Amino acid sequence: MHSTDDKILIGSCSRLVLEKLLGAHVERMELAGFVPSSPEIGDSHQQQQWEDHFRQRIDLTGVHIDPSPFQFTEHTSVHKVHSLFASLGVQYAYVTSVGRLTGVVGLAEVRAAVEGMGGVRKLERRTAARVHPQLEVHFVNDGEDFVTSAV
Amino acid sequence: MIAVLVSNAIAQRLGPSFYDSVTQLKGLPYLPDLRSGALYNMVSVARNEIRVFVALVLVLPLLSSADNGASACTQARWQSQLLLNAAVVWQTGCRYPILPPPHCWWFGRRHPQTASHIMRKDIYSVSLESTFARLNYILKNTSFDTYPIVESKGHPRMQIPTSNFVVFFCSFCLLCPPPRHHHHHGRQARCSPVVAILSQVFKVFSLHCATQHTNAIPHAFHR
Repeated sequence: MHSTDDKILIGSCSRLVLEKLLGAHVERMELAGFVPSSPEIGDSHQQQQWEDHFRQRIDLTGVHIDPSPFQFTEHTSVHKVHSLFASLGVQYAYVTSVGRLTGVVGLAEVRAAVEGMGGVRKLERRTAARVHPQLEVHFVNDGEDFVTSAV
Repeated sequence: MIAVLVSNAIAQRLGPSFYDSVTQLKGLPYLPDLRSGALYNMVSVARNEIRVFVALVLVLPLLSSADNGASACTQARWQSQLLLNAAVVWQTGCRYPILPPPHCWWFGRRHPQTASHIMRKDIYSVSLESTFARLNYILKNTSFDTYPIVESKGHPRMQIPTSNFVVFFCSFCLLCPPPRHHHHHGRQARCSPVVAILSQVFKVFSLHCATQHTNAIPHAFHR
């Protein structure tokens, strides 16, 4: 029933704060003289250096973390979830099991459940996510290889 | 009165209302009202009923053999309770027996949907072990407003940053002990200086916490 990786939910962080954190790291690297190579030129050494600096772990010290995001357990009935979303105007809430994060429930899921659309309709991931132009970092394989190595 | 009731029922059937459809057309967040029976998952009923039947088959012989004496009756009750708990544990998948409301579990034909049925399991979380590359990947490919911060078991605990204000005042209080009352032998004069300093520190810390809770609500989470 539980996921294999135990991720204990300790809070949530806004997208703006995370973007600032990444932007500060990019700025620091640019000040140190590391310039990202464009994929067309294909300077492999420079690209390797750039990617190596992106393998550093993030530092969340001083980052504002909301310590109490809305959350409920796996066994919370959808009726109760609907009441929570309707009365508080919540956009999303985390689902935990003994403190471990197991899922996210958004307004779209609750809507789909209430409207009786059968199975769970997956939230369409917007492909063109708005990212600050400073954060447009290019990787050879778009950072996908880090997903398996990183958390 | 009957006309009002009938019209009300028809109006509820004909939903969503004009105002709700305007909200939907504008693409604003819209949550429809609950209808009776809308939130029940009929698929898993058969499996649960089999489990309940098995539990009953195991429990009923114990209850019927409870006529022999008081001790046997107590024992049977105890055993039946254990078996019932086991059945509930088996059904819900929990380690501890969490009983759902009886109308939907024991005699009812409907099994309510829970949050685990509708939740999304592809979570993009950030932790201390995440790299900047991972953060970049998450921010590029998703567009959520907030992201969960998680902590893996077995890794060092995330340190909560203490504000400079607390550090400054704590050090100030440690460096400057409170004045002693020489003439007046009160309760404060008799306690040791360490205790007095500690009490002062706790007082300042509690004051700081009180002010933080009253006026320092983070601006970013007012959505």
